[in-house]
Amino acid sequence: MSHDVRRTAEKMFAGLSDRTADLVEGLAAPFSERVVRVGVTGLARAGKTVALTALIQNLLHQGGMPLFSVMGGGRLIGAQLSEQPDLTLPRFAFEDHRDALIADPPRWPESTASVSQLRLSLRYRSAGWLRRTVSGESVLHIDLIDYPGEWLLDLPLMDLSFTDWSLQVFAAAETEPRKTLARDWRALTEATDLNAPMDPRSAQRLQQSYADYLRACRDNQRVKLSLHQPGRFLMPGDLAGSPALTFAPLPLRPGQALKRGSLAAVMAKRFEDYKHLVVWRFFKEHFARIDRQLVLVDLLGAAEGGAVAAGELQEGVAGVLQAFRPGQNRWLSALLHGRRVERIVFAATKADHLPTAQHDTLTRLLASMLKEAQNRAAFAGADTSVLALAGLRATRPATATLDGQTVDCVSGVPLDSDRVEAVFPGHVPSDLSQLRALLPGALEILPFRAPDTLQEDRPFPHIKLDRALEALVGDLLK
Amino acid sequence: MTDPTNPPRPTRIALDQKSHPDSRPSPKPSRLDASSTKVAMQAIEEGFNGAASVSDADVLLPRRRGWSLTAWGLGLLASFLVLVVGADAVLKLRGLFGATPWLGWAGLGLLVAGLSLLLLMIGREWWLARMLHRHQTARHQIDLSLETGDTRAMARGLHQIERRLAHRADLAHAQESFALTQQNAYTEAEQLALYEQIVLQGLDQRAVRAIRAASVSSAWLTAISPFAVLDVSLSLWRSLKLLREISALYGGPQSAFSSLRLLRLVFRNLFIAGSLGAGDSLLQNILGGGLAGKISAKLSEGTINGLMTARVGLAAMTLLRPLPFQVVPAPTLTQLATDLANDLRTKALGA
Repeated sequence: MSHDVRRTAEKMFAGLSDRTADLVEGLAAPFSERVVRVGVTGLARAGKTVALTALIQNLLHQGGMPLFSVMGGGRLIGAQLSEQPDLTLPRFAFEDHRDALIADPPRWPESTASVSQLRLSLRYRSAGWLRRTVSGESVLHIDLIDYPGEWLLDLPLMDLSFTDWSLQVFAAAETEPRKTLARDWRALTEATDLNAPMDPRSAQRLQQSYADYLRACRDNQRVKLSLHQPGRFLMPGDLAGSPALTFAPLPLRPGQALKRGSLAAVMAKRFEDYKHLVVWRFFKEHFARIDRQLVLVDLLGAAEGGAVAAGELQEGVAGVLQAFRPGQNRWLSALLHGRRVERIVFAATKADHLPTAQHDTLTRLLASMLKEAQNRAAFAGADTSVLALAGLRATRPATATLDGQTVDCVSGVPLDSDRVEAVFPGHVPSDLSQLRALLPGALEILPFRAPDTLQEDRPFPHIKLDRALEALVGDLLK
Repeated sequence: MTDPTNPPRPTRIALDQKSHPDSRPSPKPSRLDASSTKVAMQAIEEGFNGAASVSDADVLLPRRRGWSLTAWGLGLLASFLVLVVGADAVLKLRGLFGATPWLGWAGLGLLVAGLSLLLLMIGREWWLARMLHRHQTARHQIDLSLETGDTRAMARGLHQIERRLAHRADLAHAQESFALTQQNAYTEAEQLALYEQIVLQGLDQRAVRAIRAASVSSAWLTAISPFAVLDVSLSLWRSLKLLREISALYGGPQSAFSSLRLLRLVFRNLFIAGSLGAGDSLLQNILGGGLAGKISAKLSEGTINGLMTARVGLAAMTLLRPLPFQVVPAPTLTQLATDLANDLRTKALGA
């Protein structure tokens, strides 16, 4: 019913600005069912799809998340998937991902490359006597909005000119392992005449070569890199091949004048278009409407890659944080109307690759990384929390005796094997300085197969997913 | 354990497929032979290593005293009595045999049967007393581990509690829910909290209900009993019954004598913990002199007795509960007193 009320309200106020619509919604809130928009994002291969699938499965089937207070306290009456409010957005394909996981043999779901949405409705009893007496059963709609973390990394582009951005990209490509990966693209760039008149095909070639380089960086197994700008080159969504995405950084000198109509000038213009048509639009249409945010980070993968990967991840996290610090960006704060994400949970994923005793260490490492990012510019705003989680726990604990020492291990079936192995992954460093001093090979994070014990009607095993959810929306379900 | 200066390299070791326990909630991950495979699946150390680390100063534990003069004296007297009664029995039996052999045999048979049953009872009481002591020690160790953050001790304690309550049909559902949460990796402290929340909370509610019933009936019996001596014994009897109920709920020993022992423990705890403080007597005054007092003096006495029973029950609950109250709020005397007043009002006014 309230849905209809809101619809009507939205229609009535269609001519007014979004701000007014928000205001109307805010005023109607106490009388209707409440909605919270939870953004879920993660930097490259953080296990976002798995975490989200497991989160939904655990919400739909009771018993697996006792530390989520509304479930642990037995106050949740029921949860169900309902019609999402944004009918133009793709729906998060929960059922497909779940079916992949419970298939025999289980498969890890395919990663998503675009924004998608899903609405979960929770019906619950309030913990407080007064609220329970006044309103009886309450309903909270949780709109999960899933988008690639790379899109957040585009935010710093907004303050850069095409020349500055190009300089940055070329400077980053001077160090290994990017240097090797960038060889083809740079060769092609060197061979291109920047002042030649614009030719769509050579522009396309340049863009594709640059996108290949970004893909190679992302898929690099040995050192996991996280800074991929612009984000849409990896995850173009429906913009693939469009002119807005047809540009590439060029070897320009600072302050170099661009000849009108030349390749360089057209690329510079497209860069500006990208900023305004793609980046700005994403922030306006999706990001600006998020209330709570879960950011997943593959910290273990980065730590395994040593100093370079860790440095890139840190840059990435700093970039992501910038998006939540609207005071720094005038246009962004104007866009958000002073509204901001109320709570952010940063989570290091794939904690199941570590024995339980090391989960806290991983959390501390993430906290120290965030602290550094926060210190660069005072981060005043949302209520942030940090934790280590695993959306789906694919391992079981074990111990082993190595070199006369007893060490905690994890056991599971690695992807490249078909039998159960006990894996001692090494010791995760507990802060950044230790991480930078980490010797190559001191950590080994082995990908495991999904457990073959998952069932459609049972909650999936996880690590601290309930704590994450409690930190995100627990206060709304009191 | 691990030497921090020289950490082992990351390693993977293939496990025998058969040695991997079935992955559905496996009850006991077993420890493999370390020398042959080098690998052990996680196993929580089982078994119970007594009171070794428990300090004798603990107020909750019955203290062991040496034999005092009184004990010697009483012991000797008791021996004398046994001797006299024994000798008398022998003489009587002889007389019986002298009269008719079959009468003698019957007497002997009865005597032997009676004695062996008595011995059995003593043995059982001894066993139950030991059980009680063990429970107290286990609880003490859990308290200690929670204070010090000793994860191994927590895991061991939880395992013990689970084993103690494993066969309980009334807890099967709760235990199943708890087992379901075990597929996630929780820390030991979180596991204890979950166990408390999922399994013990239901028991707590039942214990509180038992206390409430006992305190009401104790108050009521006092109110209608004609003599003071009868009050006291009725209250005592009701308290003992309550203790047995609570003990049974939490998986503790239950028999007449162990309840007496428990009562002693409870009273010691009550006095030492200072529960008989000034704040409570104020509460008693209000309750006793309040509505109940207006109805009748006897009823106000009854309220006080009922309150005493409630307090005994509460103390027994804190003592017998396998875990301290951590996430679940502990029931308070004030709440119980309010309940008692309500119950009495309904009963007295016939509403």
